[in-house]
Amino acid sequence: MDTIREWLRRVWYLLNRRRLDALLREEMDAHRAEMGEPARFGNTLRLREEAQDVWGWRWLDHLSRDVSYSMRALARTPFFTAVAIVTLAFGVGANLVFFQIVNGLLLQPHPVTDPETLARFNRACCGRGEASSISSALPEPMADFVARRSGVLSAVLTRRSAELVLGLDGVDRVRTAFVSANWFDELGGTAALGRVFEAGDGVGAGTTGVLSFDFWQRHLAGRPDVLGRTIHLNDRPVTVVGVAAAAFPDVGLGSPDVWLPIEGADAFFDVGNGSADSWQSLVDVYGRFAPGLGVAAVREGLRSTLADLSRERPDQVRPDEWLEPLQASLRFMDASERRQVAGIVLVASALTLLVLLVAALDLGNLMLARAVTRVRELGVRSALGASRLRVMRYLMLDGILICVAGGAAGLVLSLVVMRSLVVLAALPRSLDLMPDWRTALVCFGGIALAALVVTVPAAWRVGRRDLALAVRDGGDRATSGLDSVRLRSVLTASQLAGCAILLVFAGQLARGLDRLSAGEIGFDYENVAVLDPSLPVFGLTPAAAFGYWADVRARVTASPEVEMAALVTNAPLGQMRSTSIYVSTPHLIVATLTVEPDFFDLMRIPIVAGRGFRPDDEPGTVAIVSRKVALETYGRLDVAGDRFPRDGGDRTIVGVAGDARLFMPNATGMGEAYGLLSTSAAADAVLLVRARIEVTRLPALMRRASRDALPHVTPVVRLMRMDFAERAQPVRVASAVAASIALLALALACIGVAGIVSFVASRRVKEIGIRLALGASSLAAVRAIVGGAVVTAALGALPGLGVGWLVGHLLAGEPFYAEPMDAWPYAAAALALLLAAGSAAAWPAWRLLRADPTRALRFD
Amino acid sequence: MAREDCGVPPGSLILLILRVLARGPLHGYAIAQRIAELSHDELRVEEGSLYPALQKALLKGWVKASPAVSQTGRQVREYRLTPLGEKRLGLERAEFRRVSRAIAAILESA
Repeated sequence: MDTIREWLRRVWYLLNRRRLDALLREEMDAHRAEMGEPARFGNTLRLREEAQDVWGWRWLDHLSRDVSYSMRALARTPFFTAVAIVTLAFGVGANLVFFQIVNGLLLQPHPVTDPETLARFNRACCGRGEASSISSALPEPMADFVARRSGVLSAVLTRRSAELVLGLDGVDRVRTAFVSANWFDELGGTAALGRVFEAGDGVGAGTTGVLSFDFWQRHLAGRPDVLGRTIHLNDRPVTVVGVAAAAFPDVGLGSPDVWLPIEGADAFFDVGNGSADSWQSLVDVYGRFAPGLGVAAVREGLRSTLADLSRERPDQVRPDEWLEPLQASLRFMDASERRQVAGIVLVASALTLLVLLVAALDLGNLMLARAVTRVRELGVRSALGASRLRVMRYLMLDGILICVAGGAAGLVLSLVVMRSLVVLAALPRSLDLMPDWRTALVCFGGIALAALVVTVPAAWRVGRRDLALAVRDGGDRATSGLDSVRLRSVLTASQLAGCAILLVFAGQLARGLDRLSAGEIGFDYENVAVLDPSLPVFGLTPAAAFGYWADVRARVTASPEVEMAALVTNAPLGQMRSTSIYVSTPHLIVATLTVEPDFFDLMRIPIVAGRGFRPDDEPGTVAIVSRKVALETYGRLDVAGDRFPRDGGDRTIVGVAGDARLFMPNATGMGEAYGLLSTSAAADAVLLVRARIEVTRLPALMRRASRDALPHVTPVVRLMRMDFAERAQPVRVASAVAASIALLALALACIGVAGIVSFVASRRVKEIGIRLALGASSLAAVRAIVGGAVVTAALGALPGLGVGWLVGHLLAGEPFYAEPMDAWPYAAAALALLLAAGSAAAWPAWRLLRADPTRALRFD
Repeated sequence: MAREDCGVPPGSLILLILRVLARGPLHGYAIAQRIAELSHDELRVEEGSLYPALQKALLKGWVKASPAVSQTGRQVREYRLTPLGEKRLGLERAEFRRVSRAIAAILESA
């Protein structure tokens, strides 16, 4: 208890220090006045200091004085201080922006209610001769069966996405989600206006709809009288009953414009003359775990439910199928996706950290030079009684204050960037990208790391010296050997190594951009349009679908605007629906699609060996593989007659096509395998149409042909070059960002190079003067100064290029598709570094020569 | 008049201050005068060491300070012993006696 009281008294002394010091001074003055010989009292200031030592907290008092002094010193050099703070702000800001994106997308739990117990279910099975196949959508009858029979789920939610035509003029399209009645309740969604769905919505006459907040603002000007209004979607009336809250946490990143009840979905796709095969109608299925059950128990429970279904419908469900739960708390990602994302996040965060390190190393170099100039001042402080620790604190405080200010500025910068990003990228409002405690921790970590790099070299080098020498001789001997070229060269080389890594990374992304050019991607998309009617949702039988296509193709190809048309199951540059990985080539992803014989001519994909498909070929018995697949699977191009897949395949290869990056234009490690389209697959097909001259005239023609063939079918028509632009956009943005960061780091490194060359030049003035006086040319003098800097650059670049190669390997997969064995990025990075370092070194060398070093021989 | 070289033995200043204050509250100058008076001028407190010792005693809670007016009419701070200080005085006194006996025993040994 006495200890606690004493501690409280100490705190009280700390808080009342000034007043108590004044009282002590008065008391001592009174004591002196009482004495007959006041001179015997001694030095009042020293006695007060000794008395204050008893109070404790002297270190805090010293610290506040030292901080005040450092701030005044930094204010006397405003340009240096501003540049230092801005440099660090960019370094810390880049890291915080990246972290906030990762935090919002991955680390923070999904904003739905109780994300641990909500999961999406993927359909999974294993077969012979193939890898596991996963489908993220389930047939509606399967979803109904699970909802009725499974005891491990307390609620089952279903969702089907579609694009519907808005209004009666059929021009605008809206993203629609058909959802079960419990959708909003289970996800924790509320209404900003009106209500959300209730049980009974969608059954009977009259379809109700809930609008998204953004759609309500954009299309209806946020009018409060929207409730009860009727909008038309696919010519069907929908009564608006509510507007979802702005931050409604829908399951994906993108929110639909309108939610409609799934019970009434068929009415929007009513063909009227065909029987709908409900097993062809696919829905996304989510479920809430029953209380007390975990992932493993739910998985096993659903496995037995599917086994029951398989016994009832062996034609639709295999006995070895199961439903894999992907929890909302893990952002609905499976293990391989999480590993992939974690790998990308780790590498990308290492690269952003590198930017901060380069900035900090640059500053560290400058702080070292600044510290050397303070040796005499520090000598005086040491002589007055400052301990070695206190001297080192003097040296570190400047750097720490700059790092704190830079970190704070970086945090503000990151907030501004994030706000802009949310607006420009139209990110959903439910995505929380604002800083939280994790962001604060990362910010603090960034500041601490920068402070370590910026302050320790200077404090270590100068603080260990015998500073008493500086008082006696003005600092000459004390600084002798202090500001060593070697240390500064190490710091500069480290900067350049960091730059090399960033330049290699930027170069590899730029090469990815290069692969987007038409010559590289292997097919011609420019004059091609795609007609996608999504026939399965309209319930057409295969025969009816085939008839539809025959009618549409006849109408389309009759136009002189059209060169040719072909059906295909997956449109290039659209959604890749089917991929396979084969046992013999585990590193190769093979995109599979079925096509008509004219597909290769239409897309300008050459047949490099064998032949193309012929109309008399039997679908399901023949295959064409891409050049990459042929070489990597069979080791040769003349594979006509071989079986495909290689191990136990049931198709015969008839030809080899040129490589065509049909779905991921910048991807590496992908090949293609083509099958011949059959009549039965026509329902899943899309029509590709190549224009003779101007592709923009095709969409209206194609829509008209579809309406004439089947009026109730509302197809989506798009130009393939728009799909390409959409695919290329992220690559372009990533490339531009990486290049900007690399150039920023290079600029900072050049400052470091210029600094060290200036320093070396200033120490070699006499030597250069002697060389020139003895007849050396100016060029030789420049070479003498610049040569060292170029060697430093090379020594820094080499390990940097090596690490860059490693980074390339780590980023070889999706989404960066780096090619680590591509020599171009390394050569370009090395050249850029040497040129930049050489230019940065040449400028101070030229300045020195202009100042006539021979004068140094006359004036010491 | 105190001798010029008669400082207080190290470690005993707190004991003397607390003992002097046990007779009643005093200000700083009066404490120094009382120690010299009671020791018959054998011990003289250096002003430099008096105030740090008083601050220590204040921090530990052995004494309390309050404003007062000296005999010469000046505003001063008067120190008085607290119950904790009395307890401390007892401990310091016992410790001093123990050490004195031990030193005496050594000096008187053969």
